[in-house]
Amino acid sequence: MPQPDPMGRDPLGRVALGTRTTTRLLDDLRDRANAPAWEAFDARYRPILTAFAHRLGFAGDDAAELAQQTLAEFSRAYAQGRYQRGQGRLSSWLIGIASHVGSQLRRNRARGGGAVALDSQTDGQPGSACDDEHALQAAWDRERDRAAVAEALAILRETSRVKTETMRAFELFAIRGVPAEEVAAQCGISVDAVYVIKNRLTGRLREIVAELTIAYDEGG
Amino acid sequence: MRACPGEAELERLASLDERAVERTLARHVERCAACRAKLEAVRANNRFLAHVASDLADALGEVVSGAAREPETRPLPAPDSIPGFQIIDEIGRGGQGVVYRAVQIGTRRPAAIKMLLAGAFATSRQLHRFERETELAAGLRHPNIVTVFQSGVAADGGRYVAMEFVQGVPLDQFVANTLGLAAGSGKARADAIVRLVLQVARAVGHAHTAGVIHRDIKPGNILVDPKGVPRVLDFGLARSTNSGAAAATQVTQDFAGTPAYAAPEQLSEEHETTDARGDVYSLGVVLYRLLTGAAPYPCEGPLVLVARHVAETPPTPPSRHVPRLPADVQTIVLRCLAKDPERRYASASALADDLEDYLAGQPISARRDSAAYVLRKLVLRNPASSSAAAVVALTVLLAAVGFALLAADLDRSRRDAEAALSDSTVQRARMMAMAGDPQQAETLLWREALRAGIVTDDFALRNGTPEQRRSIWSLAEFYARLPRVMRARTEGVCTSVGLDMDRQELWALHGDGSRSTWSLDGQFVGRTPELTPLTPWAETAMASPNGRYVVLQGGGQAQVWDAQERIAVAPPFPCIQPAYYARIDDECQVVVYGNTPETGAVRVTDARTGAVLAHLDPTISGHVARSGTAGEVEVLAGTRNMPVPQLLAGRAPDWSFGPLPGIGDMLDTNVLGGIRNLTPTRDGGLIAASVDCHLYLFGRSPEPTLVAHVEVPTKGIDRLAYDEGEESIIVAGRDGLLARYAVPGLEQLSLLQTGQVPFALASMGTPPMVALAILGGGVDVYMASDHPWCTKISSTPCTHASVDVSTLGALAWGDDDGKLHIRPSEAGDVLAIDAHDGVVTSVAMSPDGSRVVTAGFDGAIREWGIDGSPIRDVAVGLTPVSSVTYSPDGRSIASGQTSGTVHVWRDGRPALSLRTDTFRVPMVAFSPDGESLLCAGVNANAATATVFDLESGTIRYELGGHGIAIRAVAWSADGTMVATAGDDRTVRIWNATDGRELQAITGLPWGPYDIAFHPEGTVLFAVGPGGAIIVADTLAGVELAKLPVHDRHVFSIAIDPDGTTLYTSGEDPGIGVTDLCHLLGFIRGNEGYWRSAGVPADPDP
Repeated sequence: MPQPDPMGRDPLGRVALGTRTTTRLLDDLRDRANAPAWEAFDARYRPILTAFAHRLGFAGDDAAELAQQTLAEFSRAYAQGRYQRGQGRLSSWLIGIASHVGSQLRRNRARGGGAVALDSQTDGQPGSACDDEHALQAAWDRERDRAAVAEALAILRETSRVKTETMRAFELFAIRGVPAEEVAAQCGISVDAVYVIKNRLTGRLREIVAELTIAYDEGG
Repeated sequence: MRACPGEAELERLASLDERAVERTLARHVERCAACRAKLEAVRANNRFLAHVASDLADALGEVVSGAAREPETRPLPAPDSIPGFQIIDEIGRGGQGVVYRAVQIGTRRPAAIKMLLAGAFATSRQLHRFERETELAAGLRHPNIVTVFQSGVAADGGRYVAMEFVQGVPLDQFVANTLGLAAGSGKARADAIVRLVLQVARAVGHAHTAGVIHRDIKPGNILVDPKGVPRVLDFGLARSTNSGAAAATQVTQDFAGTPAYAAPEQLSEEHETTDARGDVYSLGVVLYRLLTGAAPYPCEGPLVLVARHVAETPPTPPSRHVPRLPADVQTIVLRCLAKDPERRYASASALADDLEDYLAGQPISARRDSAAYVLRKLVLRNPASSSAAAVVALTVLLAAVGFALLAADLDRSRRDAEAALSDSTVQRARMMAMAGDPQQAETLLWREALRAGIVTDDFALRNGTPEQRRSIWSLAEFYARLPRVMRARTEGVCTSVGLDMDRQELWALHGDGSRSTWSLDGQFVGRTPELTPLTPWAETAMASPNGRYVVLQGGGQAQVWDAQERIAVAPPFPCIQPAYYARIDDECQVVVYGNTPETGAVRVTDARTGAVLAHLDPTISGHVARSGTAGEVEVLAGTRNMPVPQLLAGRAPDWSFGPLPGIGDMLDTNVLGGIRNLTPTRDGGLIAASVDCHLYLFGRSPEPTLVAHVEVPTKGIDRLAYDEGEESIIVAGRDGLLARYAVPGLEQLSLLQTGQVPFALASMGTPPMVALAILGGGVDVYMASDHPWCTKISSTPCTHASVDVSTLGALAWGDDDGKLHIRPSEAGDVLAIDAHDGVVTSVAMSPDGSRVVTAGFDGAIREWGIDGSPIRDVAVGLTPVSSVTYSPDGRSIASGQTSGTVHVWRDGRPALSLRTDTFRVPMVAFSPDGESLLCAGVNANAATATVFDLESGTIRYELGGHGIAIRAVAWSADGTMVATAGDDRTVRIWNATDGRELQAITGLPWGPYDIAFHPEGTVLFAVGPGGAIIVADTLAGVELAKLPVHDRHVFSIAIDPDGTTLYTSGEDPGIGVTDLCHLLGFIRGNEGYWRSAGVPADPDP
């Protein structure tokens, strides 16, 4: 029987996050020498922060810079005990840091501290959303959802004890939108079975996404 | 009560409105708790799937169908806010948005405005692409393209495109109305359709040339106006809005729209790679459907089925539908519809060419290589001259080899298509490089180079393929403009870099304190183990200029390491936060560090103990530098404009800082930002400082003085460094500019646009080599010099009409002041001799390098020793002489005169006098065996170059085709080829044995004044009015590169016998010496990076 990986990695070597069996990440981060925990934290939040930066209007290196500075600042703040779980959600804390870093970056650039790579979606107003709390939260939620869904799909694939054909039927029907009849023909199953698979796996996917959403927001 | 419904039925129920549920079933579900729960679960699942559809699709990396995605319900933007237009009414709605009829207010001309759906762009990249492509599309002017007036953002935030309003009908409807149905039709109908599609193909080809791909060619996007002229709509729209997931959202289970015209690659996972050949495919489908009234394969039903048919089902031959369809038309259609893009026409223009050839009764390229086909065409076009017997005999012969030819034909077609595509990519990249997009250009060039299996041995590549030669020369052209010595890959950003010129190595410091080293030819040497990082994310890691000491900062702590001994110099000590930069001197005496300029503070610490020596008030911002080496350390700090920038200096032992008086008054106070960069010379006597994009040089003797000031053409100066000899300052701008200015006057020495944002900068060597750590990771090393691969030998400030080089490297040139200049050896001084009255028109060196012959407009030809001593007057009193040269054995001299006469002297005595049918002979050249003389010619109309047999004095053959003046001629070193260059901007390559034309290199930017073969004969160099050396492939007949050497006309070029150095002369006051090995070194130095990166994807397919 395979032994659990002490670093919390799944059989593919990825750090398994968000499931109830995972030790709460924030507890692990108390140990600054716990490289896997920090690595996991970085792996989880850097993509969201980078995408979040895009939503704030930063692009390219500036978005990466915002993510980097936010993570670095979080690391410092956390080490100094400035984040108390009871005072608010981890996501709110990160949004606050990222917003501050974004504003700093914007001011810095505006004063000639370096070129800002603009994301054209914001029509050349980087960081313009930095001061709007609701917009920030909405942007964060959007990126969190995107990350959670991606990770949930990966977890579903890895943890659902279903045949490859079953997963294929699910992806064809539920994600690619192939008609049930066509899926049934391709996968050699009945149309009813296609619907059963869709509902069973979608239900499981919803559960995982819900768990992950909490994990992303709370750091669990 | 009926039984519980099955899964499918429940699913159907879940998708229906409550009221639409069948009564019986509804009653059952209402009463059955299990069914109710199940139905609710199904609905919840479906809502969830609809909510996360795009995220799931992203996660899957594939497209998602409309079935799983919520329909687009966002309201369309209001149509009343387009600047310059007045909306009249709505014309129609489609997948992309709403189209309105409008009037352009200024001109009162009718317009159509397409308002795009708010959700048309899934990503900012798509939006960016849309903006760029509509901008390009707006530049398209073609009679068959609907003109885009403008595009932009409406007041409500929606995107719009305003275009010419065309009153017309879709192409298929026009054909149906005017030409009737396909059945029973023949050549006349087919020709009429071909004429229409030809116009469309020309329009699409025009757009391709401008870099715009349509991606949604279909009859609905081709309107035929009342005059019968087809006009193509929506350039620049489809590509942006139809790619990826967005495309699939338009596709429902019963679509019969765009995908029916899409190329296989557009419906595959590789849809991002679709290029001009995708449009060719769509044009093929349009042509097919117009000709036959049918689809080439089934294209109704679910997307997956259509995609499969498009990808796999061979098109039904059009002649099955229209038996009398001309065979050439069928061939053209089927070539367009090849599943493999590489088997299609490379561009819409190539398709148009074939359609045109078909209409003109010419052989089409799709079948051009088939001997049987060409023969048949010739017979049909010239029936009187083709005897029936010959046809029969040849037909029998051809039947025997038919299959072999067919196989070869197909293979050749494939290779041709590949070569054409690759060539177009390289040409696109060359244009990008010229247009200031070096990063994309370089990626494309290396992509094609790696695909071609580039060999970087030499530039001749005698045994290489044309693609390999094109690759190496296009890269040479690229690095000639952007002289990057090497590029190194790194993981993450390196905050400190250095160059070790003794070892010819580059090093870069990583965030964990480890150091990677590369040789300057791009080879990775190794990486030292990491020093202990202080935090998971090292905030800064900076090395002393000599690289020995390293400061690591992070988590509010700093530590100094001796990187050579790999020991910590002192325990970690607290530092200010956030740590932004650090400086440590080569002797490890002090560490100076600070945080960001905005929240800035500067602290000076004893590097050995960590004791704080000075802490400058937090209101102080700016960069810090250090000067002094031998025991005396000085720290400089700059402040922002509060109220004026100050420059502070402090020294041991007390470290009290005070302002250098008057500095603020010397700065341009209109510039905000304060002093950001400070770099003193080693003795501290000169201080370079930057404020925004202004560079200042201050002296201290002892009071501060402003030595020089210059505004650098950058958005802001990010880094400064002196060169090794402190004779110039290197400036790195945050917009990728790399400039060099002379010390002390700050005259501009060079200006490069690297396209990279610098993070760290180091300079070493002369001319300076500059290492830049790039913000996105990686280290680049550049030569901070304009054209470092080309040096100039200074000469008199006048025109130099001719230059020549001997086998031993001796060099000679003449000027228009009558002087002959001789450089006997590379290290020798240049001699200047009064040789002629007026312009020295031509100079030649004897093959053994011992003599020089000169000719002038004074009608004299004179021979000189290599030491400048006169040997003899070969001739005087001639008409002005244009050209003079030695024979390969050095005993004969030939000249070309303005009268059209050619003279030959043997051992100093007249041997031959030849007449050409020209006004002037601007150039003469002996064949390598000395038996023939090639003479250029200038004539009023049909100029020719003449090849004389020197033994008989007769004409061997004449070379024409240029029409007008032939100013330059050359022999290949092996004597097998002859080249002529004419004012028709063409270089022609001829077989030297029989005068048969082998290749024509057309479309040069000017008519060359001089040409020279590379000793291997594979490439040829041409110079002329443009100042650049043009490199052409003599075997493939194409231009390969342009090397910028001079600023003005170049009259003469010579190449040394080993083919590594080119010498050029012209209107510039110097002789250009182009070192091809140097250029090759740039390619090799960057080769490792690109090879390790693999074949990069086209950044903008």
